Amino acid sequence: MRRIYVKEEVCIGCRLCEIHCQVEHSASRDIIKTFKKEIPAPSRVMVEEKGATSFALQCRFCPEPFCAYSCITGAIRQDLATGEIIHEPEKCIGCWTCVLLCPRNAIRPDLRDSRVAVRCDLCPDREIPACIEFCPNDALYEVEEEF
Amino acid sequence: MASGIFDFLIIGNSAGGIGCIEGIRKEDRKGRIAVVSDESHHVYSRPLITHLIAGDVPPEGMDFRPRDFYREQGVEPFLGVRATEVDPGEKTVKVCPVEGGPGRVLKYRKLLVATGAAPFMPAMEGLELDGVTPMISLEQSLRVSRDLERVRNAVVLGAGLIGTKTAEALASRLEKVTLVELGDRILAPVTDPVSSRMAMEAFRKGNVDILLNNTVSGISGDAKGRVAGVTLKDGTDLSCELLVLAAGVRPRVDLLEGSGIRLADVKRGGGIDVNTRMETSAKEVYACGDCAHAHDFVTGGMKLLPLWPNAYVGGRIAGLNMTGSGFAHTWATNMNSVDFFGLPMVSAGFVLKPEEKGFEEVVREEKDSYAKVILKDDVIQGLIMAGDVNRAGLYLGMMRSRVPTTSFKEELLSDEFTAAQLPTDVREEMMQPIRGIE
Repeated sequence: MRRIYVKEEVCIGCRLCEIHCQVEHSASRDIIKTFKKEIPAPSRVMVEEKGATSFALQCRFCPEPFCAYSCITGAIRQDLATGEIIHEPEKCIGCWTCVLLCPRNAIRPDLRDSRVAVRCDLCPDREIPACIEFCPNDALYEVEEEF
Repeated sequence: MASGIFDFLIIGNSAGGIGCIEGIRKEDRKGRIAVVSDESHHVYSRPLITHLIAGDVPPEGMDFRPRDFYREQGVEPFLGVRATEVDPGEKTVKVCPVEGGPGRVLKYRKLLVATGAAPFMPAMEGLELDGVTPMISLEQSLRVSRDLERVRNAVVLGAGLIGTKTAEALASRLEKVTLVELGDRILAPVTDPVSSRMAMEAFRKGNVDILLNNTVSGISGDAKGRVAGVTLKDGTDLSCELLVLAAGVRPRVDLLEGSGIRLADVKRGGGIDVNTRMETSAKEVYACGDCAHAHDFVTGGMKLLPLWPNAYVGGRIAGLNMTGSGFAHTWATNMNSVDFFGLPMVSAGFVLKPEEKGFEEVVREEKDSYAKVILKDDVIQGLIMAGDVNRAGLYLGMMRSRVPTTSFKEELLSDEFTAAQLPTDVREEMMQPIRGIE
């Protein structure tokens, strides 16, 4: 299982990870068009900052996924063989139960037209997820873990 | 039908039953599992039945798990088959096909009762008329969808979650929908007066008439045996070709009559009495979901929590424990999330501040959003958010982990509040995936 972690002591709270997450999940994938011409997608990584403390947080793909346990439509479920989380936005009706149940605050309502819950997808079209690649201080890193 | 003994027999093919199968299969890939349900459909998402009426989910979108789920998980489904009697001494369940035909007896080693809830039907004449229906099953929603072209006006009785979602769905298809509620606000169990008013406003904009402090006292039919109208408590007559009765649900426990399996007191809702391991009073018999009690981590007591996630997790814990694990289900509380006409609303734990000493509220009201937390000794015990639910998970997580908010409780709901303010140990835990459910 690939997971993204953060070094809290290195994170500078600049929120560039949020910006580039939004760009990566936009129609144009262009930073200027994303924020000037489109309604930006919600960021799937959230920077939490207070004073000297800051860290970025995204989905941890939990072995005990409260999101899957609470999903009322079957849009989010756990693959019983691998433990991976299957997330099918086309089955999502935007009831936001997973948003309420994720204690990591890692699922967000996408309130644009489709109104579905979204989370980190590890940027399937990129070799390195955008948040990691564009972090100016190498605060984010990826690890491959046993489930 | 297959014969022999089932290692795991599950009565009920909804959230609890599926949770149980997935819990069992986490630990035991081989044991023989059977599921019995009087509904003949593949497992479907019950909360979606109103979306089927609205037309925003197609019939094939109702599946809660892929079509090959039973085969993949090695489950023998007995669908369209009703369980009528449980004998925990003999470890048998009597079943018979709903469509008629000979019944038979299934033997089990471990049994889960996840029969769900039945709609409460008010005692009055006219319930048998065409166009009068509860709204709790796929069958009922398919029938209403089919008949909808004959309907111009609909009345929905009861403004709980089922009634409000039904009214919302019907409003997208019909000229006139009236929602009648006996209480003085809609969605009482999951709202406070402010969030209830916001929901009322969403319904008003969505073209649903809401009548509070009122109820249906009489139903009238036409010569063809179809519903033609209702008379309300205050004397108002409303014509309607559809009347949906959503005046609450009751645990479905009739099949346990004579089994000796203990039920909770009627004053406590009368569901199946279980402990936090989901064990009933009978050996090797477990229960979960709307038919059984569950632990509420906010109040600490056992009560009915007829909510989809509670059923799923209760079933999962039961399934794990049926394979020999020893988990406790302490995950649930009164928690709901719902969206009406684009207004998202969540609640968890207390929605009204208890009278007892030591409780306090923090509130944030904006033009289009509302948030409230209820605290006791600086620990969150209740949450309401409407209009903007972005941080709901963080608050419920803090509630579950009993994080003291003393140093930041005044700004808990402000834009200034961030998870970076949480104590170091809580933050460190937040960085890690969740590996345990207790």
